Amino acid sequence: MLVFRLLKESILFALNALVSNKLRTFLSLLGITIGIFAIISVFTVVDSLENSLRTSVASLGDDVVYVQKWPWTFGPDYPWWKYMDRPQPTTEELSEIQRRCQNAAAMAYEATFSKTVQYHDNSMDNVSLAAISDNFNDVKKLEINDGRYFSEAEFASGKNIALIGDAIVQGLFSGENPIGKEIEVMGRKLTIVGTLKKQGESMIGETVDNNVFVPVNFARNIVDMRKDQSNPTILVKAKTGITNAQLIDELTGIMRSIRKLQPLADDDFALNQTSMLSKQFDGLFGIVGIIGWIIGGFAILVGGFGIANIMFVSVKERTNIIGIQKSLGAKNYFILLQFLTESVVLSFIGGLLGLVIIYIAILFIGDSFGMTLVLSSSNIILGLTISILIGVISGFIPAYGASQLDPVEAIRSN
Amino acid sequence: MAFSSTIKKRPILLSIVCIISYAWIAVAFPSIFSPAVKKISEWLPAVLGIILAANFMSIVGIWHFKQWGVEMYVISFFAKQIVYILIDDISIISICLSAVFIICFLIYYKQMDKNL
Repeated sequence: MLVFRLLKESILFALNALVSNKLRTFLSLLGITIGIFAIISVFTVVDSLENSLRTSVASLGDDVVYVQKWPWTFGPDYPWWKYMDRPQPTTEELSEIQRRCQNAAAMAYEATFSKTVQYHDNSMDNVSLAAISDNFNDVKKLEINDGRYFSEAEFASGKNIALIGDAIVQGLFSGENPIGKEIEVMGRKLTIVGTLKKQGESMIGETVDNNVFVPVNFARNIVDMRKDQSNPTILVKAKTGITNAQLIDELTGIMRSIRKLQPLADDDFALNQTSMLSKQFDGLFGIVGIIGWIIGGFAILVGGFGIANIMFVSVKERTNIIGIQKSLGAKNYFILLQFLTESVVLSFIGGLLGLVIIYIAILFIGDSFGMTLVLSSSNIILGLTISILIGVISGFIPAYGASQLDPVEAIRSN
Repeated sequence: MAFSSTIKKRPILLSIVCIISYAWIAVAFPSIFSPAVKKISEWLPAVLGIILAANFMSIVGIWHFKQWGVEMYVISFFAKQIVYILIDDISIISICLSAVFIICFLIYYKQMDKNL
């Protein structure tokens, strides 16, 4: 109880001292406010972008392995010359993998082409014509808005039917129901059997809104499936309980066997997974975080010195009051606590103000630019911890100095 | 300001150790808020920060040749090691250096002031 009473008294003393010197209080907490604003705003932006990117990457499928020609590694040392002569994955290879693979829950083939799509007088350029095999819906869920998915028979016969994304619906059919209507791609008619729900574009540009999905057996009649730009891919989804590493091990053996590679020969295919994309961004976000931390760190350091300076001034100003308090029986720890509380309260208010400014900025950015930034609990904890610690560290020496004052000499001072 | 005169009693060895410790704290303070530490746990920067603040206060106490400084230093040392064991990041060099410092402090412990 004594501790709480002392703490309460110290806080009241501190608040009284801070209120009686408003301008000085404002100026000294400004340093901490700017420091906390700098460091936490950078962390908030980095965390929000990172989360958004990870969600986008995860939407590609955490448990899906992509059999492709090119590996998902980037950078200046990318040895493209090693990969350019590799063969593209084919539907025949998909059938062979389907026959041999034990660890896969589902697998499908996909190749995309940029084409112009027409409906009467309306046309859209650069539409993604995605040629897919059956089971594609089991690997990557396509959310049907209206109509239906392709049947097995339609896939097998290569029927001229299509599923279209929301952007195509809006671009070609303004208000009309597209189901049963015919669109034209490369001079061939396609009957629309279904439309997809609006998805929106993810941070890595992945969306189905601008896609026209057609059965792969139809697409092979109008386009060259082995074209490099179409990025032919075999998507393999792991069974529940099977890790991507286990699936990759099995797929490596199967693909090497299908392509009849010698034991010492390098793989002529790439087995990609979404974690490879995440890793590419880890380094980038790490660097941005460190830059923010260094800039914010310096700002906080300056703020800390400001508070220490103000506390020394405060002790100097109130030396005779300290002397009177001590002569009336105030203990050293009470004087220490009084000044330390003042410094911590000052710093805490500064930190709180910094967080409030960040929160307002986040609301403003969200409204003005449509960006979703989140001030996470970990960043709030970090901001408040930093400010309290700065208060303790910068205020302790002046506070301890005050507690050690000789009462007689302190009363005598002006 | 008229501070008490206990500072004059501080041996040169303790002054050196205190200066090294102040410098160490100055370096360690920003590092506990680094993105790498934040990634380990949400609360880790706060816990390490409290330990570091306790460490700083203990050095101020030792600088003023006070026994509570040594006691606080030893407590903060063990608290820090427990946290490092929990996150599996033990540094033998840091332990040895702190142990040497503690020995230095303990040599002068009995001569130190018992009051706050």
